Amino acid sequence: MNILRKFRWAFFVFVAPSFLIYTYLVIFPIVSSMAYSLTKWNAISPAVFVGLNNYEALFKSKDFAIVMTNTWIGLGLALVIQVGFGLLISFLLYQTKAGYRAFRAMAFLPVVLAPAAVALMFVLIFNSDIGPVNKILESIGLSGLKRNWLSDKDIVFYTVLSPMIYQFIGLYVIVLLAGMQSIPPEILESSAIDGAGSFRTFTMIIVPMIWDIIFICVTLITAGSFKAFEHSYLMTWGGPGVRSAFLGVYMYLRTFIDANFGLGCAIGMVILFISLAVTMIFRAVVRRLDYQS
Amino acid sequence: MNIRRSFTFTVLGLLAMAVLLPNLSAAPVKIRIAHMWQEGASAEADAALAVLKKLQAAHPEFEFVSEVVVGDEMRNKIRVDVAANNAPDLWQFWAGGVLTDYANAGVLLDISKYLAKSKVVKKADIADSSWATCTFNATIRAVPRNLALGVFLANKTLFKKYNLKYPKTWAEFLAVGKTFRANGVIPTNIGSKGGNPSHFWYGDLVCQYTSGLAGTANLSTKLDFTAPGFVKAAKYCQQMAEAGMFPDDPMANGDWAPSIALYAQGNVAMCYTFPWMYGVFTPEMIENSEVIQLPKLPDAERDPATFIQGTVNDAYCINAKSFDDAKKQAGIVLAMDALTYDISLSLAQMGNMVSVNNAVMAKVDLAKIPNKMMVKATQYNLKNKISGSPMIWQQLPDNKLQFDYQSAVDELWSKSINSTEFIAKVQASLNEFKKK
Repeated sequence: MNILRKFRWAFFVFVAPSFLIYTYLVIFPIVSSMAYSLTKWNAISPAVFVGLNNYEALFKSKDFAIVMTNTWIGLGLALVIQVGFGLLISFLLYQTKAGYRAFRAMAFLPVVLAPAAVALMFVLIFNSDIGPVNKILESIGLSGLKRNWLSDKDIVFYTVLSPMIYQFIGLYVIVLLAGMQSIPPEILESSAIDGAGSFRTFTMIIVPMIWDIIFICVTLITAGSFKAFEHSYLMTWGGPGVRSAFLGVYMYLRTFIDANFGLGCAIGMVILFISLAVTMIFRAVVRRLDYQS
Repeated sequence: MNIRRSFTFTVLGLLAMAVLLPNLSAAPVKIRIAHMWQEGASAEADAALAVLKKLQAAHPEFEFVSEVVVGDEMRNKIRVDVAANNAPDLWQFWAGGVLTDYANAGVLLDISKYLAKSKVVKKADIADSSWATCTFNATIRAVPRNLALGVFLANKTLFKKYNLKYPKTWAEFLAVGKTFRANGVIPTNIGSKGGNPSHFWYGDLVCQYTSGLAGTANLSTKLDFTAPGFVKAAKYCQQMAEAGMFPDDPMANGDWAPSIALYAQGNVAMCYTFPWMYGVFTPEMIENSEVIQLPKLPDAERDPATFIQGTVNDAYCINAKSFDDAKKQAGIVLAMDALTYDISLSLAQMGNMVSVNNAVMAKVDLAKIPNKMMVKATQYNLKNKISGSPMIWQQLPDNKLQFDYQSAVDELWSKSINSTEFIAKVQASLNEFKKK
């Protein structure tokens, strides 16, 4: 400490590389995106300043409204299913003695697959002309449930969402499981001695004790939902129209396909600010709950 | 003092050598070529790359560097490269409205400068109508590459099995479709993902009307999508969707490869595709396919037995800035000659493309083309004097318009919108462009 006090400039020497790299790779792109979001720019001709026109066009766009709705629904379902079922599966794994390693590996396996491979696999599975889903429904007498999974505008979004949830739920299972395994066994033993059953142990001890871990999962899912891209783009290009598009896909379509980089940057800014706002709200809620408990 | 002086001279000497040596040695001049031929991906790719390798061996003074990007991603690559002032020297692209931004910004070379230096490509060898697809403000900005005429095929086995005749009229077309559907056969392979191959089919129906043909030809200037031909064709596409003439899941079976994969499985009665897919046809599929005409609409003014969607599809572009670099110019001309002549000849002889260059096609021996699907389609086109009709997407002067149009076709195919909404959607996009 004395040395650091003596050579105060040393502090800057150690911090400067990280600061410069972070500024160049994170701060500068954010600031330049913000600047470009105020321009009309096709990446070839010079950018023309248009003020808030891109934001105005965005918030007036019907397609953007559909995409925002999709993103919020996707986030809601991802939170409920990936955290809810993730907690349940991880608790079951936590209590499993035989085959624990095999089950854990099975839960995590989809996470290591390439999203492109998973997306293409689900395109084949849901293909209503040649895929197995409709054939299985037909063979078990549920022909009434057959759908054109990737073309029906009312359900295509949920079809695209399913491989995303399937692929990443394993990640949250493992994270939550690690959280559960970090709880001191004495606490669980005491609760068992006091007569707490599995349900009570799960709700009154395990969930409150891994609350921070759950919050990390919520933050990761929120960020993931706002930048979701691969599955939607590879399965349907976000279509028909933008019925199965997330904000990330919409940004890509407007930026690269329409060659409207100004609008694309405006969408990027919207994603950034919504993600920050949602994360801050969740953080405030978690702090409040933490304080109350 | 002497030691310090000799150290200083040594360092200065080394620095001078570091600066001068690379310039003294005759380092080859790098020529960057962005194309779509991935090594080992197909016979076409390998044949094209073999030509480039031969070029490299003959001209060690240049280093021809391939930058491979397959399919529509080439649009993103070139746009980002141009934005970063890092565009390749030559690149394979599409003809038509997709070049507008680049032409207007002066990124593309005035091709007359290349033609003046080329040893093999002559303006007269390529038809004016082909040059027109690459001409902006009276200046040619790219060299057209290939002619793409669509083809409509019938699965002979399935037609024979259900004792059906190949349809020539719309009523016959819908009737055979109904029979096929009743027997669990998908009538056509025309799915729609990113508007492929559906938007070409729609364009074919549009061109059965004189107003549609004129409307398509004038789309880039009049920006009007409400001509009767556009409206009627959209209604017939909606009728097809409702009658189950398309795959049930047009999104899942849309785009080029999935639509052919569906036909390859043998449970699709009719197949609509383009020459760039001929490479995936197996000998059995070719043997089992009969080239047929598109069905004639009830109120058609033009007979589809005489035309099909077809025009210049691809083009090669030259970076204007690179061509002005005296060191690079000769290398660019060599590479461009290889692309537009040698590779075109090699691929045309394989039956993988029809070159727009008449001098190239004059050298092709039809009898020796190994790709029998190309032979079959070409023979049909020659026998029936099939001409190419203009493509809507190519006439749309802006990337956004093209995407909006193709995306709306997806919605029409999947019954997310009806024909009236389809027309309104595309026109709204054109109106927005007009306003700008």
